[in-house]
Parts: sequence; structure tokens; C-alpha cells
Amino acid sequence: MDIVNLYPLSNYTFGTKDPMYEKDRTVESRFNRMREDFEKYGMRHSVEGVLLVHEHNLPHLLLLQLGEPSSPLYLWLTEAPCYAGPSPSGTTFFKLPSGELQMGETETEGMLRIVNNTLGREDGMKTDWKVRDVVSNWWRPNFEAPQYPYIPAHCTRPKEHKRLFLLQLPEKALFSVPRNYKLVAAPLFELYDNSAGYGPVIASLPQVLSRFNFVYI
Amino acid sequence: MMHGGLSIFSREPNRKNSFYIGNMNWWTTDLHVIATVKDHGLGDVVCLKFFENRANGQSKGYCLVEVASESLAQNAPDKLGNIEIHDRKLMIAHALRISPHQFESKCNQAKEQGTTPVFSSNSLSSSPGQLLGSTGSSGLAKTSTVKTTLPGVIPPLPNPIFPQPPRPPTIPGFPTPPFAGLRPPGLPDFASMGLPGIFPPPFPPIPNASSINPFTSRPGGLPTLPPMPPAALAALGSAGAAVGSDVTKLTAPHLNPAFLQDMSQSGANMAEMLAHAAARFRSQTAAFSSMSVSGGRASPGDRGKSLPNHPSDEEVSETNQRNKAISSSAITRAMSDAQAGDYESAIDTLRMAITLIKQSVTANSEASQIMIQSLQDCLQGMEQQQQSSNASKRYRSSGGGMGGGGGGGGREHLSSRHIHETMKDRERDHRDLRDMREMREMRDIRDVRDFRDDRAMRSGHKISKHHRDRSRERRR
Repeated sequence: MDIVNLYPLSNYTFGTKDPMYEKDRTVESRFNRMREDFEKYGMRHSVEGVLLVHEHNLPHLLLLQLGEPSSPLYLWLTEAPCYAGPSPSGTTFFKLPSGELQMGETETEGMLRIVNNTLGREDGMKTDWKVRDVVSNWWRPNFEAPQYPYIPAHCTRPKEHKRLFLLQLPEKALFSVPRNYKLVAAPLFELYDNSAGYGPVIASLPQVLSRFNFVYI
Repeated sequence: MMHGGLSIFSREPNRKNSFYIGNMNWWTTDLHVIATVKDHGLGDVVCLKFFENRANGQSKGYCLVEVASESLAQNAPDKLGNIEIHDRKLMIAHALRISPHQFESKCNQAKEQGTTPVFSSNSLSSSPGQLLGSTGSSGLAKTSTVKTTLPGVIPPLPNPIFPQPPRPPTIPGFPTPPFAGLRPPGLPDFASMGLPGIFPPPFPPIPNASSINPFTSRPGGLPTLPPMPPAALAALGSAGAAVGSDVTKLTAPHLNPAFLQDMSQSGANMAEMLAHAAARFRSQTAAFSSMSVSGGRASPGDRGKSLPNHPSDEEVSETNQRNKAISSSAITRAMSDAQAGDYESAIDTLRMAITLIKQSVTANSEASQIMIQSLQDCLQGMEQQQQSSNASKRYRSSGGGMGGGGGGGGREHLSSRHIHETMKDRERDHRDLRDMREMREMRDIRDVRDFRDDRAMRSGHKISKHHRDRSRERRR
């Protein structure tokens, strides 16, 4: 029963809101915070949201594109542990709406909180997104960039666990995009076999999403 | 216990109190190691770091273990030298005596010499070691490039091109694996599971045609995003386009003739390739001059006319080979310059290599990123070395006492090894510098550098006599 309704991109409208910056401004601070958190709380749990629309009967994935190539944030992200994509010399960087789960928060609660913070509207009305299945898991065995969709056999304590959730969008919605990002819709063929362009996590989404039965409304 | 347990992983081991454990299976976990260390009277593990293949996270079979004191670490080879984990006899070495690359090659050597039992279909646990030995070093080279003109120089590459990788040496007493010919990159690991009959079918080669982005050739059929400037869509269309990346900063690479000479050893006609690359790059960037990647306005028509966003398979693999050759020879040259004390040229060499790779067609690939990162690490280390080269003499005398004491004890364990006295001194220098400055980067540099040296040697590259001697000493 893995039926997923997709609506055309034109059903959605896009506005802007204040920039949303990451917690860590530099690579080093990100590593350090991860190490400290690991000692205190154990493995970090992150969630990322897969939001799909369709055009021409092909699913498109909504991605946040970083808007300021010269900003420290951009440079940091390209050096970030999670980063395995294009070089920072002027090309773009894409990520999914993502964040860390807080203590005591369930995955669903956290996912909704994060996606509302990232793309939710600010006029008081609530976007009716639903968190559906987990589409993939990635683990980071060390405090470094590489992540893998399995825990390497010798590693009993991964440092971060990232879960990607498929989000069901309502038929119509307004997305407020922080000013430092652009929201783009990437067709699946653009991502397929393109980890050079998007990193292994995003580039493997066409495969993991293939099991769903998409209905193009 | 939770607290202590987790802090083991949250930092780098202090080499003074540490030792290497090697020749383990890839599935031997950190908990196994911790239990073994404790069971043999070495106390609790303070810090633990496994060495793994970056491409797939698989353990390389050795790790660096820090215990509570230096004396415990000195005792480690005695206490653990003869024991086995999962039917594999462990190799132990004190961290100050030996460095990671040496250890890795030592481990591989032991495996190749058949220190583990002869493979049979029954002894599944031992067989991985055999195969792993032969593929241990090429395990990292699991993905190689189309033209095997550079057989030995294969850093990890996520590029899905499946050509004929070089065959690992067959081990005496070991049946050749079924796939004698085409050997897709992932296969060495399956082989190492010791189930040769159950290999999954080879991966079908994934043509890169899909990445020639149809998006770019559609004249006006781009998804409409009302407030989004077409630039976003243009950027989307060109995402991953390595070529478009360097529109803004274009200079023809300055080719140092000395550089070219080094690289001409590596089989392919490097100089020619570089010249081609430079020429092609210039023409490509001319084509893209009307298109800006982020923030500009580009009409779909332009994009249709200009070159495909993703370079062809051949170009990619060519470029990757070139980049690898560049980075390996750059590092080799830089290290020999540094050893000779000529930091200026070492730094220049590294800088140029970084520039060349960044400007290449595949600058975006992970392999290039890794290369650039390691070159930059080298560069950093080099610069710090340069600064400290005056201070080193002072460190040497104070460090000499420490190292001497440790050396006396350590030498018993390694009495069978010939170690060049000069190399030892230099090692000690480096070690002291590291300890004094906590330069973890230097270890990584050496990992990279010496790993490349290993591969360079195996592929028959000409490397300096100094490096060859060192490698020979390692190799024994």
C-alpha cells in the first residue's frame, strides 16, 4: 500500500522569510560540537525530509540550494563532514531540510518541527505535512565526512545516525524559504547516478524511492 | 561506564601511550579489541581509532589503541604478540616505533606470505585474510579507471566506471577467484568474505549517458517556480557540472617543466594530456562565458548550445588519472624536497598541484576532493615544518632523551628490523614536533604520502632513491 500522491509543482507557492543559519559556523566547531555531544549524549540522531512534487509525470525532489557562495556558511558546508559534493569554487550546494533531534523528541515530532522551521509559513497557518515512511538510513562511523548506508562491521558506535523520511505534502501549500537558501525542484533523473553533484545521500534517492507507487494528481 | 565508553572514540589517541594492533579481520569490532586488551592485562583502553577505507568504510584490519600509560603500551607487544582474535594472529607495534603506512604494508605483507592457514571452503574465517591480504592494499583501490596506464595509482573513486582493474597477485596455495577478467570494484570485498561461489553478478556498467543532462537541451520546458530566478534553474541544470564551476577563475595552468618530467614516468603521455587539458579547458570556459552558475541569468538556448554538463566517461577517467598522477608525484616531490630542507619548492609544488586539480574537469568528484584535501594537509604540514625547522634542533636535543629511552626498550621488539639511523632521527623529529604541537595532520599526511609511495613503487614509478630506500626498509 505504498501509494504516494504527488501534486504538480504549480500547486505550491513560495515566499521568503528570514535567513536561517546553521548552529556551527566553521568545520572545526561542527566537529568539536559533535565530539562533545557524543561524549555527553551518545550518537547524534538527525532527520532529513524528502519532499516530492511532480512535473510531466516525473517526481521532483525539493532541495535547498545554498545561495551565497562566498559566505563562511557556504565554505563551511562544503568542508562539512556530511559533504561529498561539488567543489566550492562557485558551484552550488544542495541539501534536504534537516536537523538534529532533541532529547526526548520522537522522530516524527522532530521531523515536523524541523520542516516547519525550515519551510513552514509564518502567517500563523499550519502546513499540513505528514511524516510517512523512512526511506533510508545513513551512519557516520567517525567524526569525519564519510557516511555509509550501513554500519561498518568493525564499528559498534557510529557517531551520527541520519534518517530520511518521506513527507506527504498537502495538495496546496505555501512554502516560506529562508532568504539564504533557494528552493529548487530536481527531477529524479538529475539525481540518479550523480553523487558527484549531490553527494551519495541525495543521489541514491531515486533508487530508494522507486519502491513507491506514485500517483500524479 | 557509558561515559567512559564513549569518550574512547571522541578524540585521537596520544601516540606515546599507544600501539597498533593489526592483521585483524574486517569484522573485528572495537569492542573485541577493548575486551582483548583488557583480558591480557593491559587495562582499559583510553582511546581507540580504527583505520578504514574511505570509499566504503570497511576496516583495514588495524587500529591504534591508547592505554593508560606508556609502560603499558611498551608491554603490549609482549602481552598481545602471540594471541589471536578470530583465528588471526595479531600484529602489535608501538606507535612511536612505527607509523600507520608502515603498519599497513606490514600487515599486507604478512597476509601475502600466508601467515594464515591455507584457504579451503571450510575455513571461512581464515580465507578472508588471504584475499584481504592481496586486496588489502588494492582494497582501497577498488574503483579504478578505464585506461590502466597508471596501474598502481588508484585512490578511491566513486566514479561508476567498471573497467579492468589490475589483478592482485595470486597467493600460493590459493585458488584464483572465479572472476579472472572483469572485476567490478565492489568485488574484492565480496571475495574477502570467503564465499567465492556466491559472488553476486558483476554490476552492469552504468553508462554515463543519463548524466548528460536532458534538462539542458530542453529549450523552454523548465519547471516553473514563480519567484525563482531562472538562475536557480540554470544552476540546477548544471549541478555537478565540473566544467562550469570555474568560470570565474580561469587561468591556464602554469606547467612547471620539472613537474612534467616526473609525470612522464607514469605511462601516459602526461605532458600531452596536460596540454590537451589546458586547451580543452580554455575552449570550454569560453563556451561557458555567457553562463554564470549562481546568480546570473542564462537562457536555456545558451545551455543547449554549450557543452554537456557532465564530461564524457573518457574525459572523466583521463582527468582522474591525470589528477592522481599529479597529486602523487606532487606529494612525492614535495616530501623529498622537505626532507632535503627545501620547503619553498615543496610548498610551491603542492600549491600548483592543488590548483591543477581544482581546475580540472572532475574537480567536483569525491576523489578529487580527497586529493585536494590531502594536498592541502601536506601543504599545511609543510608550512608548519618550514616555520619550525629552526626550532627543530632544540626539540631534537630534548626529544632525543625521550626517544632514546623509548628507543632502547622498543628496539628489543624490533631487533630484527633494520632501521636507518638517519630515518629514525628524522622520525623522532617529526614525532616530537607532533607531540609538541599536537599536529595530527602530519600523521594523515604520511598516511597519504606513504600510501601513495607504496602504490607508486608497485606501479614502477620512478621515485627518489631516498623514498625507495625507505620503502625497501619497510618492505623487508
